[in-house]
Amino acid sequence: MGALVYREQFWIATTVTVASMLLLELKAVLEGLTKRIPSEEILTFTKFLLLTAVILPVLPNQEFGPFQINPFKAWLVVVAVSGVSYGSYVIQKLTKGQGGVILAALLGGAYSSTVTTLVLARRAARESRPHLFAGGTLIASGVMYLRLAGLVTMFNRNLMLTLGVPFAILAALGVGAGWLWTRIPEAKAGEIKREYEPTTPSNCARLFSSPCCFWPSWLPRTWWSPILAGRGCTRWRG
Amino acid sequence: MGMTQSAGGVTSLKVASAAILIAAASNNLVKGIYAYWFSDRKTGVESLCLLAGLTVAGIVPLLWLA
Repeated sequence: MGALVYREQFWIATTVTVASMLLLELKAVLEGLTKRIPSEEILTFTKFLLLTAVILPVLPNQEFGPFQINPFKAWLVVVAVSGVSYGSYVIQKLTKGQGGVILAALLGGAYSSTVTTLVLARRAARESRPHLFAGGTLIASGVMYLRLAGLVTMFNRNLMLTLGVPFAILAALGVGAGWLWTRIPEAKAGEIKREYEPTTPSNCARLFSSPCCFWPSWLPRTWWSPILAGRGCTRWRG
Repeated sequence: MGMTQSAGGVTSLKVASAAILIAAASNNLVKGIYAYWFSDRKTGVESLCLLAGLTVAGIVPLLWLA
């Protein structure tokens, strides 16, 4: 602080002092917060901030190497996918214990329709409610189209102009038909509570698998193009 | 996601759209197989049939893109 004052940085010195006093005053509140929120949740949020606010801005936004890999764009995909998953994860946590299988399918579809399908399938094996769980699985897949629409809009709006209508119809079809299917009367009655608890979305293996899956899709234009062109495959670009 | 980066440039919008639709549709079919494999027989058959239906519906837009 003394160094800042010596350098006549009075505004910064004052701000740091006020912030320190506020943090000292809020010590008890912040301690209570750490007791209310599990450490795993704080770690997940910190990982998400690390991905978005720390790593993304420092990555170069230019193409490197023979495969023209752009680290910024590759990481942006990781951020977008984790952002959607994290948002859905937070909503699922906030609505914990509320709603039934349909709400679990709707929220799970936004998080990961594949994981939701697996969870619903395993639970269906012990509940004897085939229509409810089969309909729920279809709902999750319908929501997947909405998630895809959001991600495509983020990265390429022209592409969304082509895919917007099909995605909207497919989402409506999946959610609508799934919901109707869950309304079919079953032999076993009674409400089934939501059990689905997603694992934290900042799972490292999942996050780092995203760019690994993403980069190979860039290969055709740099690597396969001359090979295919040499063999007379000129129509692969459509 | 890879297609969204190259669509409109090196890859045409039609090809990128078709690739995304096929990827999403095949993902639905795989989920149907997962559902069949991991749940009881009745739920599994229903899930597989419903997701196979969504798979077919998912590739219908290709007719308009062609």
